Amino acid sequence: MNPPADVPPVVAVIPLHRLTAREMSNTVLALFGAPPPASTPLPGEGIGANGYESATSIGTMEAEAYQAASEAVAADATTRLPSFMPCTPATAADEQPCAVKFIDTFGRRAYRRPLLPEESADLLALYTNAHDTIMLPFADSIGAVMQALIQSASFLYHREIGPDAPVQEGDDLLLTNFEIASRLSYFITGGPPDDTLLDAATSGDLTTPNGLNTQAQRLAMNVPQVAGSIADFSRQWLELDTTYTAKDPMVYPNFDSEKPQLLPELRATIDGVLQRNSPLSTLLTDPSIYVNDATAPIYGVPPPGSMDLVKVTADATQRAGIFTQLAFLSVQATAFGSHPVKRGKIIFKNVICGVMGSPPANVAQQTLPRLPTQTTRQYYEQHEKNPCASCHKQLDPPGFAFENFDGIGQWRTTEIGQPVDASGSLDLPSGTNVTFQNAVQFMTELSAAPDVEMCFARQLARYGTGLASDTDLGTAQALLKSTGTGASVHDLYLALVQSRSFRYRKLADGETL
Amino acid sequence: MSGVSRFSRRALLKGASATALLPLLEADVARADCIPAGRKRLIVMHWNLGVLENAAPDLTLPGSMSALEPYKSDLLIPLGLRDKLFEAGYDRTKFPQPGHSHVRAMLIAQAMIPMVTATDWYGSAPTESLDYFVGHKLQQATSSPYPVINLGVLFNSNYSGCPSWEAAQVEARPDDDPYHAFDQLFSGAQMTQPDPAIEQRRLLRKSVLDYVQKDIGRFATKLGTTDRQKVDAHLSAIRDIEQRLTPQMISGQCTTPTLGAMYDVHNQDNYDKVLTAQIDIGVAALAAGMSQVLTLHASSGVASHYCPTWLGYPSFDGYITDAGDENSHHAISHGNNGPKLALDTWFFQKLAYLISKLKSVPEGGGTMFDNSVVLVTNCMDNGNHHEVYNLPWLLAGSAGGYFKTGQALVTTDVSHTGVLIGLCNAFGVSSAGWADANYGGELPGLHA
Repeated sequence: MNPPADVPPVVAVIPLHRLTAREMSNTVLALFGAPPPASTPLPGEGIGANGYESATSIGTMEAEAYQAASEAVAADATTRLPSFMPCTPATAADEQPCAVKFIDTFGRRAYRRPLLPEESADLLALYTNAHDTIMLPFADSIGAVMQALIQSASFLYHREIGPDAPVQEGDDLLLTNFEIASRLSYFITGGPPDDTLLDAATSGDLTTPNGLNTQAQRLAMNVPQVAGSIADFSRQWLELDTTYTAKDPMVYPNFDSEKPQLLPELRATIDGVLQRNSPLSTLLTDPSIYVNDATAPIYGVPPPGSMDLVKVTADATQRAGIFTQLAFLSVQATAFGSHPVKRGKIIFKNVICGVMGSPPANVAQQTLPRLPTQTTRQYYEQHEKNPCASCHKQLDPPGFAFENFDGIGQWRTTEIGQPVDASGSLDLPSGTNVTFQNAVQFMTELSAAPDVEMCFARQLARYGTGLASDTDLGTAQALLKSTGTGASVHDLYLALVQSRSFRYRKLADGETL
Repeated sequence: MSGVSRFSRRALLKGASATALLPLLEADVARADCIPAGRKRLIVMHWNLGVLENAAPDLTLPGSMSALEPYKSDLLIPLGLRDKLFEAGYDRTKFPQPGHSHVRAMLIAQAMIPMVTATDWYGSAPTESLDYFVGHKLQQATSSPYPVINLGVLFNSNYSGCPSWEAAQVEARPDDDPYHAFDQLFSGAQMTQPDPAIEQRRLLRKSVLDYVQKDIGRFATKLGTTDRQKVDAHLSAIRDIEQRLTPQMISGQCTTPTLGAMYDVHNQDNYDKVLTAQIDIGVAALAAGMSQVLTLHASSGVASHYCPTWLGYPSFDGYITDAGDENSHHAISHGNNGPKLALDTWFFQKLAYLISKLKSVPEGGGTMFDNSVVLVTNCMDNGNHHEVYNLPWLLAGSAGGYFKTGQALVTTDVSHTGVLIGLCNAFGVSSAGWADANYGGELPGLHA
């Protein structure tokens, strides 16, 4: 198959989205210096059509949850008022002017754009009503303003138009300075724009590629924060939600102490790759692992004598990159063993962007008992003998590559007394065929394949711009053209913000400017 | 019960954070003299992944439905329902089995809106779902505080499609925490003396919500049609919340449920306890006039995130499937064998419990059940097919004599909208504009 011809990046309508729970939590942390109290859980989000989390509407349940969270956040914040107030009223006469000042400075950070005059006036009226009519003290009256800001549409949704109207260029709309500031900040840091970024938006710097790049590079200096965002992307990319990952205690008795380390190890790995400015291929080849006393035994390395994660180099004949680390191997598994289909499906669908044929009609999924004499591979190879083969011949082989790892990622060379067979082959979308004897060899082959870099760019486009899985190609091509092949993870991630798909949108039906 | 107002006060002062402190009820229904007379009630209960057995045309019930034997004369079981509307808009080449996605469409009587891209196999509702459509209409007439009492089990922690929509494109996910539901429905309901601190809190909340409504109104003007619909629904949710700030005094000697010991509501081992508590709370709330509609989400649409441990199917039994792990509800459903029958049997037992609860509330010369109808829906035919024909739906109760109960209604491939429209009619709510008339009107034979 020839590589697809160049297609232009797609500029799409950006549907209204509310903040995800992670964004909301980071936003509250940035604004109030403390995350929202755990006693008032924030509404979560489903997985959108493109495979990435998507928080859309706010119904009664969500609105009630935001109300409870806003009250808890304000109650906590009013005990620490001086830490984020622009002024401290010394006398009763100072209170109202201080409230005015608070509304404008804090309101700009909360709405991620300057307040409109009517917004400032309404917020001041709320403060005055709380203070003078409901007879609340100054701090609680400020708390009322905080509650209102947090429950506002202008806070909860991503649509920070600001004073300027979007500029029309042909059929496309260039996002306004404040919209770009937010999009940039949430993409790179997971949180709201800081004052410097809002100032740059006020000066009109963000609608030019150079101005945008300056701010992107500045935000990206905070490597741990960027690592947090790329880890968030990777968690969704590789479907590594650990919430419901549980293991049979008879088989894996220590998993409960190991589980909390899975996603932190992923994040630490990404942080390390960013610190060294390493190329994407490193994510698939680096034998570095991050262990603490709970997880070192799984890797067969000496416990570091710490519950903090410590970087160690693993046996390079066994481990190569994130797919041989514990998060992927434990989550993409069953409660008591490995699961080649789950592992293979992630590689096929999300790492090489393989396209599966349609399943044959009316094939009933079956639960076949696993015989005690069957290895995991022998059990799943039954797929090859029935109509399931049409899909599973694509999904299962890349999963067999990881058969040297059990359900929590421990190395094994035998299973029920038989030698493990981790060999196989896989056709890549570009037409190349890779063959392998084990996971390390498979990863080495994959890391050199252009398919993986292209697929990574496509996944990034879906995550960063919300593009659908069938409209991301042009954006990915443009991204790779700008970075060149073999670019660092850092550069790939940042290149997306220059994309037309990131900076432009289409006018929605019924929308007037 | 002096305890109730103490909890109410704490809950109101601290918001939802106080709920963790509340002991859970062993709910019992309210006393007869608090019930607003002559109100009809709609209860929608759904579980999913199909059922293995259904009633025979002569209404003979199979073993898994034997819990309903005492209520046979109250049942109306339409056989052969099919969601033709959903099928018409569904692309089987993208995802061959429509059952899971159907969960979002089954209480809708118009074509679903495809979401964002053509690759999406879900879809978004163009209208309110049956429960909210009827609930909002009835609420207009009675000013009851809630359009729908919306409760579920282990639902939001692993979301996989919700059949309730409070507005076009806005899902109404249930409260799946009975502690929280209890607090919200019953705390504060009994106070006779306004507490100054609570009054201050109420005024503050009102003042904050007034601002929020202004903000949403301004915000909406900048949006396109689709997004504006979503924000309008957000606005009406805020109005609902504000309306509930007006103290709800339950009239007469009405009693709220009894409180009892606490447990982890998100642990699968407590699934049975949670569903039982939600039935108790829901029925008590109907009896107290909080709403005329109750929706019970007894399972989620995919249901691969829990195993029926309470029926003796532990998470790890040595079997592996691609349909979720081990003994999950989903995996068991694909098996369509003994464990599936056990699970079906259990769900029908919970339905029987709901009916018994409704029958335990005296009303007029009879019970609340006489004025009620329970609609039981399921997004699939059986667990292995994942299909949207032969839907195993049933009605229990006549809604004040409207439905001709005590029969199985034999049809072949008739639109499920015939049942939804029948329910609208039973409540005197016109389905014009809400239901697509091209799929027929009320299913003949339902009406007595």
